[in-house]
Amino acid sequence: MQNVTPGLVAVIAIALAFDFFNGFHDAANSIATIVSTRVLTPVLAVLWAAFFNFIAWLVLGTKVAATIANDVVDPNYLTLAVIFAGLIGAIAWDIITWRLGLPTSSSHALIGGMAGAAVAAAGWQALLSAGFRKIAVFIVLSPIIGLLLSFTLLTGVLWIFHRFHRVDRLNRGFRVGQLFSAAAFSLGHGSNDAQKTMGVILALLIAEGIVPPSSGVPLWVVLSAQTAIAVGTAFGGWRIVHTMGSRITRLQPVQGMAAETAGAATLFFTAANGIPVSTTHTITGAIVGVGSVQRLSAVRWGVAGQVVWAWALTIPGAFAVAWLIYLPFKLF
Amino acid sequence: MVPTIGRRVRFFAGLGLVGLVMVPLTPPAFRDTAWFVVGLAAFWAILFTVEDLMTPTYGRRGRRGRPSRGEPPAD
Repeated sequence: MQNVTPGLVAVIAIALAFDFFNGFHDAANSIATIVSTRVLTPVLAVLWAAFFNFIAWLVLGTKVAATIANDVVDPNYLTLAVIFAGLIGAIAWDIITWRLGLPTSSSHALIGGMAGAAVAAAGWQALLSAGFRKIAVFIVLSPIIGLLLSFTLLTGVLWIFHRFHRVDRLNRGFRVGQLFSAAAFSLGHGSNDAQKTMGVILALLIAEGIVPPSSGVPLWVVLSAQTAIAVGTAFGGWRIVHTMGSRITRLQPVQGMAAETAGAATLFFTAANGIPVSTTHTITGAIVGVGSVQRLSAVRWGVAGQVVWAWALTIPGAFAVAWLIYLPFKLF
Repeated sequence: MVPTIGRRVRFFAGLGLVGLVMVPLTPPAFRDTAWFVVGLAAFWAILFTVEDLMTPTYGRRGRRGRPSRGEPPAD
């Protein structure tokens, strides 16, 4: 452990702080629908989501972490300073968008930040086009998949139960079902977002020569990242909950269950294939999907459009901030 | 009786079109996912087109059996 420097410990601490903020900022998506349908109180919903966020790595593995560590920036250009500037850029962008109440993606802020710092350090050749292509394509596809799956699922459920006259009993069933769908979505969220921090820490350990490049994620990294995101979730992000749960469209339990199940299915697929996607993008698409079943005008397209603009700006915004933060390091 | 194509058809056709644009951009290993998006969006677009064509918007009576504007009430 002779390579463990105070700088390395400090950047790992910043990475875990980013994970905490990710939980604070993004993990609210896991509980937005369950709170807005009043299936659980906000406190219970937060604890429920935090628990399933924590155990996600046991269920869905750590492929996303490997993608972040090896497929975004050429590992040869990853240094302590690059990762530091990338993380600070991502955190700064997250705080700006959180202040504005916009549900942007911490994941894309991290990718934009890492890319910005790497380009400032070594030019455009530091970026790996194959990894970026995969991530860029799923920025577009993941919300559309969430939308189409939730629309299909809700339409199917309503078609199956359309002759069911005891609506109160039906709704009670879906409220119980929503507990499971929220748990599934939290698993998907924990598997995707906590792994991004694991990927950053793994990249740091590789850059500092503490683990070999082909190494898996050490258990202490997994546990610390899952703990950070779970604690961040427990502190909540109520401004984002408000936007996701009620400003886009008003939800009933059956709609909440369909949105979460569709979002979870999308996140399970992407996590299993090592694709880092935004949980915010996915659940927003799914909520728009269930809103569209009622009628297209039930969706508040102004808010959805605002969200889309925030998405479009996230990678360039975090890229620019991280690029600026890295510049002083070039003097040394 | 003038059947019209509703907004839902245009919405899902638009999603299908986005999926179609994404097919060549998607890495070959994940191209099936892009085709899945195209297929599902096309399914709904076709289904709503059929529904819209079979449910004329302007009839002697509205869809809920109410008289259209200007039509004398039924006895």
